[in-house]
Amino acid sequence: MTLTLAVETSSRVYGAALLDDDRVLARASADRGDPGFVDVGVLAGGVIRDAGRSVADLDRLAVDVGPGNLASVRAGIAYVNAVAFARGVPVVALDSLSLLTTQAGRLPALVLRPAGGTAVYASLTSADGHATLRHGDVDVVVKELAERLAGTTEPVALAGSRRDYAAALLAGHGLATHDTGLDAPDVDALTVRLRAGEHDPAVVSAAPLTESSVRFRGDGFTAAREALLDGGVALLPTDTVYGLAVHPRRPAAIDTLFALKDRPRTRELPIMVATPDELPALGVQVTEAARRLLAAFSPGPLTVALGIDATTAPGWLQGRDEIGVRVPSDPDLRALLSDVGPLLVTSANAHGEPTAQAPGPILDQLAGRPDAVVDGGVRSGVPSTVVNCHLDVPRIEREGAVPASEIERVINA
Amino acid sequence: MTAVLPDDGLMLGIETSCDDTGVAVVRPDGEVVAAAVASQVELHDRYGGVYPEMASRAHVDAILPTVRKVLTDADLRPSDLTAIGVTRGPGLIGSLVVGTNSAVGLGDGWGLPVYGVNHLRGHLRSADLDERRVDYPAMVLLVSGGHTLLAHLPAPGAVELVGSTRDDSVGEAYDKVARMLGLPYPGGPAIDKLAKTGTPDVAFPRPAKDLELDFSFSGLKSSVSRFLAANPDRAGGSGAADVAASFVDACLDVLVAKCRKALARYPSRCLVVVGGVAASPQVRAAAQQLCDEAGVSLCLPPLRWSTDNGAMIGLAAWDYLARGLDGRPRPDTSLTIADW
Repeated sequence: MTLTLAVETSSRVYGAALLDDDRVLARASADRGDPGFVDVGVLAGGVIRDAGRSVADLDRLAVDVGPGNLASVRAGIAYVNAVAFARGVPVVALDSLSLLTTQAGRLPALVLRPAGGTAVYASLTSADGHATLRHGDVDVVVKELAERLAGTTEPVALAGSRRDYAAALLAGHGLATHDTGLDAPDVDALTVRLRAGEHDPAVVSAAPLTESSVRFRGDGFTAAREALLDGGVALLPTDTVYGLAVHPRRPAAIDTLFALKDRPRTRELPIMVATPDELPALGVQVTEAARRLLAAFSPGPLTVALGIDATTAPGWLQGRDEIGVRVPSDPDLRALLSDVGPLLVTSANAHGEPTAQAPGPILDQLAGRPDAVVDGGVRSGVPSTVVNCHLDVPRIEREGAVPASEIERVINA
Repeated sequence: MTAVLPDDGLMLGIETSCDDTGVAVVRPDGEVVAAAVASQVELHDRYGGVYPEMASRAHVDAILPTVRKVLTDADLRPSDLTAIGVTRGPGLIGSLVVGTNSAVGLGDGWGLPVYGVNHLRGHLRSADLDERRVDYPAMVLLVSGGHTLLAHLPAPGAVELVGSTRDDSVGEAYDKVARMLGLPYPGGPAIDKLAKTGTPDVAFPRPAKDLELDFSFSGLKSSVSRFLAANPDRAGGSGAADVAASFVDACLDVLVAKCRKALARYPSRCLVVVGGVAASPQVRAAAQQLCDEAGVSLCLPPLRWSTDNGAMIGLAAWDYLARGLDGRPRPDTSLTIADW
């Protein structure tokens, strides 16, 4: 029995629904422009009360993370994340483009949502279910997506904004269209997806889907994401120094990484995670001192070494009894970590050399080229402070960007 | 009606009206048990100002970790809290909705009442953080990136707006002039620092002389812009320091003249200077000189409570609780200082 509160606020009609497993117990929607409308919390509280349940009964929440009206999307995400945080339950994040595609009910489907001026967020889902996301000028984006549809004879279902305009553009490419009449998704699309189990795993807190999200990027981060999932090595900017990253479920990549650094595979690599809340599920044992340090300095330039509980750790951590953990503060890198999960990351330098501050000198130094390079300009070059919390008394093993006095203040507080 | 405050309790204050995510736990007497601010200065420095979309997204990322940090620092559990106070306006709508909806979500999740607080009343109360300083009746000068106003406080909780800006806030003028001089965002501290090394040798206008107690800063900003266009050599080096000193001088003259007039017109035992610009050493010194001359005391919040923060919202929320102003906070960008 999983009790789920679903919230949808990406357009002016807000919706909330309460599901017990795949049974909808209560549902409500309201126009935020109506007099008497207060906010999403009142709507959500209403469906919980209607079903005779309480917030304390919730097992998880689900929310439309946009893109859509900026303030409306943020209202839903902020409320859902806060309830999830307060109750210690996870959040299922669904994007409004895929929700509209679900509501369109047929493939191929092209869904557009406004992004200010002539820009749009676009999602094209082909007949085999593969989705391509783009953000940019409507003419440029639709033209590129139309070329992907070349030779399609089925009419393309259109949903979201600018449907007439998109239909005319697609007609110019010899493509037939079907107007679904749908402007924006509603909460029923969330319940359909939750009941079908068609969504990513629940996370600790949902982030809004905007053009800065990794999935829209036709640039370095997208290439890095692909390279990491394909078992390659990516050079990534962090909030401290540049790092070389590999995906932990692609162990062969670790050998490639050490070869690039021209160093034998002598030591175990630390991990970066999007949030400290992911650590228990990895079997990482967060001590009281580590909890305080992470609360004070994460996300940020702090690495804590912690013990591993082999009974809950995933396969790729078996055999290790200690691991260095860091939550970087760089928003793009955290978006990537939210997307692909924890990454093994080490500083991007050749054995015995300092870490250069920009990709050019780093690539000159490395013994080979990483599979993907994200150019984040010049980075500080000051590494993170490393604190070993796997000892009886925590010890600062390297003083970096966080001063030792700050670490001691928090540990001894 | 005098507000009756409970003797103890812990209020969680949340402030997200602009570009800082402020969270604090505050007792009814103004004691700040713990506080943290997640600043977006680095983010907005790249663009020379606040971009609402990015500000709103950054609040989503920062707000819950900041709440967790404050509770951890104070070694508190949610069940130790009495209530939550959150800024409901005025401010950027995208930022306000993150704060109010997060606060309501926390309140629902923890079973706590949530009070929607007027950001401007938060600034008024900032002068009583850490210790009680304000002596009524009082005159308040609120000077920040978003606001420039004078208000008279006959008694605790009572507010009468007596003057406000017709166009830009003084903080906005600081930020814009800082950009003209190639200084980083936020412009206030950078201009103050540069001005100290310069000589005020440019006679910029002292605007709003005839606007009674109202202010106007857009004319001053434009005259700096025109001056720099006509004298491009003064935009850098020691020339820039002199321009900064002349600009600060003009701002101070206007602020002091209006305060002097307000103190003469409304009975006041003290002058309270709050808001981000109250962190300026020049503003503090000029206000002290005026108070000495006018025979009133000067109340300044500690520097860390001058800029936007959660503690001032937490303290103001106790006033709402005492008055029974319960209700679901709904963002409102149009609140004035007299509103609750």
